[in-house]
Amino acid sequence: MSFIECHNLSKDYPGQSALDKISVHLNQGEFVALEGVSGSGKSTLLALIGLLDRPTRGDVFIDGCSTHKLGLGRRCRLRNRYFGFVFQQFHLIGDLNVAENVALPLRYSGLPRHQWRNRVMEYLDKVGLADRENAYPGELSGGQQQRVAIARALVAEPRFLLADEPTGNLDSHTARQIIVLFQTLHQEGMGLLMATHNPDYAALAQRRLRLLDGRLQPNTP
Amino acid sequence: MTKWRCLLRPWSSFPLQSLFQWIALLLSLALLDLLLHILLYGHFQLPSGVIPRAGYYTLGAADSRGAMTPMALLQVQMLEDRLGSQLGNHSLYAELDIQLQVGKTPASQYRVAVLQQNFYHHLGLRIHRGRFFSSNPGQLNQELMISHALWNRLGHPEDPSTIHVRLGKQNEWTVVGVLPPHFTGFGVQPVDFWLPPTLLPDGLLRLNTSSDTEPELMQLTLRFAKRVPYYHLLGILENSENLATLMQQAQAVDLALPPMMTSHGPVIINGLEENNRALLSPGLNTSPKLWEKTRHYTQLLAVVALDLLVLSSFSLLLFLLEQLPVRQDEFRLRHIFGATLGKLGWQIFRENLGFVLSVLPLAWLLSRLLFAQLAEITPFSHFIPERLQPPGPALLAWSALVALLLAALLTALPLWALSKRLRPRSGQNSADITEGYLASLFNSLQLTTATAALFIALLFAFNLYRISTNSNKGGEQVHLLNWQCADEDKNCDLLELMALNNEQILSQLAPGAEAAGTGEPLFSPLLDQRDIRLEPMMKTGGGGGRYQLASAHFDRGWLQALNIRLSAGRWPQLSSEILVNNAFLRLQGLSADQILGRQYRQNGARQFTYRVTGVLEDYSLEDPRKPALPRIIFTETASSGTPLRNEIAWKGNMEEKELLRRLRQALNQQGADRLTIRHETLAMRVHKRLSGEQHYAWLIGGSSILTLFLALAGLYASTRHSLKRQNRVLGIHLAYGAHPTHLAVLVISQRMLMLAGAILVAFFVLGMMAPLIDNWLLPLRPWLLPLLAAGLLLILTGAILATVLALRSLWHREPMELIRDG
Ligand SMILES: Nc1ncnc2c1ncn2[C@@H]1O[C@H](COP(=O)(O)OP(=O)(O)OP(=O)(O)O)[C@@H](O)[C@H]1O
Ligand SMILES: [Mg+2]
Repeated sequence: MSFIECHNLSKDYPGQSALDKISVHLNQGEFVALEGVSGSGKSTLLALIGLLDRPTRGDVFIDGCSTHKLGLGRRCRLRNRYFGFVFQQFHLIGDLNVAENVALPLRYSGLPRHQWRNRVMEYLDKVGLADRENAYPGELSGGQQQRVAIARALVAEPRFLLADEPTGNLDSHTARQIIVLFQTLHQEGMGLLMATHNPDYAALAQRRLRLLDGRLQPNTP
Repeated sequence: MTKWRCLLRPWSSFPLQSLFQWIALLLSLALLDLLLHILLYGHFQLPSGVIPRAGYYTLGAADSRGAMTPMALLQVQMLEDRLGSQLGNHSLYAELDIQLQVGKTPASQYRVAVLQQNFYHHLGLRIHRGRFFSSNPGQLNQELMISHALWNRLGHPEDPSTIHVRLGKQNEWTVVGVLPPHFTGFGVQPVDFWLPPTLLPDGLLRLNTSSDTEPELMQLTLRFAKRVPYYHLLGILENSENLATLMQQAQAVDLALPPMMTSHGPVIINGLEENNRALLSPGLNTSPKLWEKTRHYTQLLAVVALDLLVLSSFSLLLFLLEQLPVRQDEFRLRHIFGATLGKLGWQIFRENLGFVLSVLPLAWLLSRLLFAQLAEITPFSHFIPERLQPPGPALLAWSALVALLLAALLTALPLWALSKRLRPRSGQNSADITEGYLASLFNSLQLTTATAALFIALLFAFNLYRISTNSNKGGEQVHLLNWQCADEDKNCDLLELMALNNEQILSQLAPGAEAAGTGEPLFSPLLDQRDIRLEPMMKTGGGGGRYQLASAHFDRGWLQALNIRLSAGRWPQLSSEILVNNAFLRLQGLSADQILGRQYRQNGARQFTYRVTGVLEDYSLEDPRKPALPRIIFTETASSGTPLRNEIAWKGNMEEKELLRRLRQALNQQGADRLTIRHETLAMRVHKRLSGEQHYAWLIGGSSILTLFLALAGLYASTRHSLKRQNRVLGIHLAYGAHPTHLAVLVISQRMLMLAGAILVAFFVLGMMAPLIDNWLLPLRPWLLPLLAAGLLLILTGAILATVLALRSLWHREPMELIRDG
């Protein structure tokens, strides 16, 4: 049994279908790339897997449990414990500084407050931004913001990282650094699902999924 | 066609909210219109320089026991001569029954009062129709005024001068005016006609010498002097200090009459030989400070009306602001296709004008209905005429102006916000932020007014409760039995009627049974300031000597109805039992235990000893805002100055029918078989007297509750507004595992900060308003803290509920949706 199993996932938006009958499984500790042209449904799929949205049809199984009929509280807890989400547009909160942004998931993780700082610094260190803990998102470059977003996704020590185009807005040097970071994380045992349209980065993954117009391409291994 | 469709715009897009706003605006405009009515028909109509006052004093003579008795006309003149300017605005007042022929009916007995017209002016009494009689001194004006009731009975002719009143054979008097419906005179029996006193003071003395006086007039004047020597000087109560000095000076005037002869023989002034000292009785037979009350009520109404208007316009503004993001595309599109900002503003203005105009007719109707009610009840009825002119074009113009102004006001802000939104680039974001601030500001103001309104509402609701429980006080068991001349009885004499022996009647009713005492109307305490010599009967020492003390005589039901409580002892049951207040205790330096049971002798008179049975809590009877005077409180029956009356209060379980039968029998035994008996219970009378306050309590209480509701709705709207702007942030929180409850706590705690601020300001506002609601606060004093606590709890619950309601979508929406919306 895989860690995450998607059964016939479909997502319809008014007037169009974004995903159509996607069935896919992701194993614990696996590094998977999700490829596809713009508008092919990558972000939609990530959101469904990360329980940030509900599918129109189909179901996502996590650890063998259906999430379809899961209560609100359980879904919230799963988001917090199992998944770390990196948004395509970073989505940092402008009123909070870097450390506070990173600490956000800890508020809901049950970790005692006095341990927050150590944890936050640990992950800021990991993304190389320990010296900017008091800066505000508006004062950071795109790459720095992306790294803050990654630290935030990791800080609650989830089992699976869902990253939506983590390198999309970055120059190749910075992008490289992030990919290296992901590889390190993968080696430490974390599962990764990374949406990207860069085939070079996708090639670094163990497995590549290709989306086209909301359907999984058959050549997918 | 499209022009008209745009007026329906807010309705078609937001029907429920529009309906809510419409009702809120309707009610607030109705209340404002009501206030306008009261000002226009009441306050602004008063003759310039006239302050309506219903509190007045009566100067009468005192008999050897110190009781007030009527004065002879000459005594009145003496008092007037000696005291002169001390008296202030005053007028001679006398009531008598005379034979008049009114219209075509045969001559019969009517109640006539003699009063100078300037006194009406000073009282602020406004006539219902016609004018006041003119009373030029020295000139005989054959003009009189008619009571509203009699005018009604005569078919209420448009022109009262068509009513012919004949006195004797030739003398025809002209009816020049109709008094307002609720004014029936200052005496016990309702008065039918009011005459100027011009023929009395000078006329009486001149009669001796002048031979050209008509015989009828001469007869009449003599009858005035001889038969009904019931004169008082009515004066305006200015303040209690003046009153005390006036009292002292009045007492110094020797009112002893010399024997008087006229060419028609000696003038017999029967029963007045003893009356050689003056006595002053403030506020007899009227509720003191009625005008103050009217002013308070008007001010309070103004506060609530403006409050509601501010609230509903803010709520409307919030509604309009909330529409903007939704309608932004529509406006932007029109803008892109060439509609100038002015044109867009014109569209918004037209929509708003349509909205406001659609409210006006119903608001006007509603205010009319409310006004018709209010004009009938106590604090307003004395100065608002019954019949109102239809609204002139002026009022219509007023309404149009109000509508235009309101619509313009409601347009300015959304237009400004829209102009910011239409500006390219950062415009929209900054507009969102500014609107958010504005919404919060409005909301804080709404909350402030609502908190204040809530407390007022609570006070009034509680007051209402108290009033309704009071009207059950004494329940059905206290019967008030009142005997009067039958309407058609021409030879009935009120004086005789009042001189019946009440004690005898009581003992006849049920020998040995408890009687509540003979009663003055329940709410008319007879306040008095006296030099009382108190001698303790027991040899315990202390507490004796002469004191300048206030005394009061009233029915215990009155004290109870006001919720003035005993702090020790019990209510008096016998006429020889009295109460004192705490101020009295302090003056004597005694404790409550020491004073209970103590006996006092008054003025050294052997036959009057009183035993103290209870201590009353301090309550200033003259003015609730002033400290209470040391006071002895006599029960009605204990009062040595009991005025004559034609009523007894009966407390007991006897059947009403049986009671009436026995009273009939008792009256018949005293030869008063022609009198008619009227019966009501204490509960009925209290209810009648309090109905005005009840109406008003409902009005203010209802509006305050509405205000609160509006504020909570505003809180809901602004929370939703601000949540909409926070969607993205809330979505992010949810994405990292926040439960909606976490977020609700977060948002509510932010809101509570605002609420705390609003409540603080509200308390400040309430503090400033305290004098306005003092009248209601006083009897509610013991409950003030629990009321405040309950109020706080209510508003907190309401605010949390409104916020949770606004937040409820968090439970249904997925994080991604929220983030995308943000
Ligand atoms: N909220 C929405 N409402 C309607 N359609 C939507 C919505 N979100 C996405 N879509 C549509 O669903 C499809 C998939 O979108 P999605 O964002 O998943 O694409 P993507 O692969 O992530 O593209 P990109 O590489 O540009 O990020 C697109 O055609 C998009 O137009
Ligand atoms: Mg995408």
